[in-house]
Amino acid sequence: MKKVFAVALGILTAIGGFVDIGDLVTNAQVGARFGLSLAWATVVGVVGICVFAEMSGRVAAVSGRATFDLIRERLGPRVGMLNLLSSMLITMLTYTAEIGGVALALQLVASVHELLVVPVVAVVVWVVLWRAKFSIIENVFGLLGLALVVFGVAVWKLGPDYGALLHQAVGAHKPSDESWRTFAYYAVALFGAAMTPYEVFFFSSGGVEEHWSPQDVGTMRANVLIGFPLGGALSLAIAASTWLVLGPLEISVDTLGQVGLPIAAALGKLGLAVAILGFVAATFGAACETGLSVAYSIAQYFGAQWGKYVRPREAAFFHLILALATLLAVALLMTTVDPILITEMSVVFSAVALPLTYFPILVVANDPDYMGEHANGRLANALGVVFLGVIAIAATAAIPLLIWTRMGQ
Amino acid sequence: MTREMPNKLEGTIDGALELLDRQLLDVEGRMLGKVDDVELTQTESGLTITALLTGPVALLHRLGGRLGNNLVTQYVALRPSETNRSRPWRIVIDDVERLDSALHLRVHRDESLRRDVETFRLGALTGMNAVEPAGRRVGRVLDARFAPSESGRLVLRGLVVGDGHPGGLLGYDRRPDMGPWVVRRIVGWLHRHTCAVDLEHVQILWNNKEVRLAAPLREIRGPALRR
Amino acid sequence: MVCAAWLGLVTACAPQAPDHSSWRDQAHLSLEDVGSNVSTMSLVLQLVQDGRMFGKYQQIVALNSETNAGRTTDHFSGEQPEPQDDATYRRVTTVMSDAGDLLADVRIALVRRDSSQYPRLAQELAHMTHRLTRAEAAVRR
Repeated sequence: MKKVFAVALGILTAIGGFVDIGDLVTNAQVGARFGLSLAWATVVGVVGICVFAEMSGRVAAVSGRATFDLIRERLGPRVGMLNLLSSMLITMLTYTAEIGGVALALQLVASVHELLVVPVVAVVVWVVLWRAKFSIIENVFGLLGLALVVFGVAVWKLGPDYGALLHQAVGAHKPSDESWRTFAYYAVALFGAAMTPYEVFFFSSGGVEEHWSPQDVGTMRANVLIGFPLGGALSLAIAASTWLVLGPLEISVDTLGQVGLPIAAALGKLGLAVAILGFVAATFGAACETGLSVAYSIAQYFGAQWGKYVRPREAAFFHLILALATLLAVALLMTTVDPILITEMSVVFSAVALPLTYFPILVVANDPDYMGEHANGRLANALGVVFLGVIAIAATAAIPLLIWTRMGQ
Repeated sequence: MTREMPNKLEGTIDGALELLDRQLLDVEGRMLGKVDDVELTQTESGLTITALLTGPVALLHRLGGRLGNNLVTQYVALRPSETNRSRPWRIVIDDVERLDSALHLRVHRDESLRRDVETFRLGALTGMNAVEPAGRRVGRVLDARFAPSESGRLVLRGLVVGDGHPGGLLGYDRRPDMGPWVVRRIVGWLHRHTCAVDLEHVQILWNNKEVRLAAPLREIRGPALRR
Repeated sequence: MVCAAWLGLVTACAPQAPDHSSWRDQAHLSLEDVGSNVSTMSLVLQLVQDGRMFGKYQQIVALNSETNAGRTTDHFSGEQPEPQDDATYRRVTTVMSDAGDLLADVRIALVRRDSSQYPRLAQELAHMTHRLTRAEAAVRR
């Protein structure tokens, strides 16, 4: 059982990256409209995040330095500040959306007022981030979020033509009523969502929180190789389930409630209950991840003490940022803005910030002064360079596609 | 907790690459900030590293040029009643234990900073124009090379001069063997004119913000690679 | 500065179609959206009849569908049609507002758990989907 908890960090990171509120709806939407023809974009994203999370995890284990710490060191304070501002915008927007997402998920089960539940959720999130031990956060929400496996069960129960699904996925067969522009837009959006910067900030900082040492490189790799593919599989299961149930009815997904309909169709009330548990756990876990990432990044830029591995009194700056970020998130949500709209926009912008985040990681992972014998080997470097190229393509294509397709219509 | 790495303060280091923007850790491993700048004082051995600078004043200056100066002026204006607000917080170099992936101090972080002295800064040196005797600008100061003197303190020995293209802090032009190969080639090509110049051929003009070379660059240049 | 130039170039080169300021495209998209909400409501009703949903969930989905469809209808009704499109405009807005009324009826029945109404409402939803599809085809011409 202890072994399962050892990979909880990877699972929680993946949950925030692949099945947070924005991804839940986006994957359902993509599934309903495109089936599994965009599965390749998710797979490419999974491989990419595995490559870079492994590097940043290795750097954290061997040198004790988390990713944002290194960004300023290698790019200088000016470019580092640029990076900080752009990552902060994205991560802060996502944090806001996740808190809103928890509220949305709770509304599906309880009669709660949609606006009044937001401050309550925010306070609970803040108290958890302030008081709960890091290991509790990752174990509880990482494992509860796995309730979303119910989507895989639903797909199995629906008894689809697996051959046809596989054919659609492997051949990237876009449905005829959709344009190539929208296809490309969603491919970039899925890739950007899989590789959002806060995943590596959280993963590497989490590694330092767990006091990883060079002996833990194996555990770190297990976290990566189990967590992220699992997250990708959950994304694909959601897409498959909506393709099978909502696709034929020409339903386009824009609310969280619609995401659960395939589960109800396949597994009835019990499945639906499990799915909602998954929604709440995943969005809450993602809220913890993004909230902590905001504070990690800002504190690591200025060199202030960060982390939950010290008493709150010893990391006052870090906890102040957490409180302020939560306050800002609540203020934004009280304007009744739709959390799902926020994430859809921030996902595409995150595609633009990717190169600034991942390039320094590749460089530091090669530095023999930092890494000694754990520096990148040929395979890691080859994959890293290839994916930097993919990231660069995605980054340049993101904004044009956003404009040309008017956000995917 | 992390691997044992050699103490770089015992050898030659490049200030911008290896000191600036490094994490500061106290004797217990608690974090207290970053090396936002490095203080240089003129001694008999030469321009010596005497303190590390940290805090808003030091950092804002490093954001560069006119923007940096404006921000510092505004910062000082926020509380005109505060003494010495325009001076950065310093950690004297004797409080530093070792440098590896971070800078480790031998004191506790509580009340370890002082703010009483004003001297030269490494951040002001990097970015200065490098000018030949005839007046032609040949590049910018990218970094400063320090080596230990008899007193054990690090003393300025030379400057790294080049075009200042992005990627100067990545370290590819100082060590020959860093991967990945593709990145190394690209950065190497961007920085093909980077070279090192010994201090004896150089005159630093702090007020003019430029560095005068004693002879044309091609006569006094040396390789930037250290190993 | 490079980024600003890139952005400018990209916006200038944006292809002509779909030109969303075109009234017909707006009509098409709005009909699609309302159609999606009507289909969602149909699915929900069917799942409720099969006993596969529970109380709060069905209410929220039904309410969301009704609200979203209403918002699309209101937004589209505010669009200014060309004189030659007046007849189509009237047809489209009529069918959308009828859809909105039907969605409200279904939502009320679902919240009241008035299961005697479900079969009739299911039929009306299917009929409405038909009407919306025909309206979409008319717009495309």
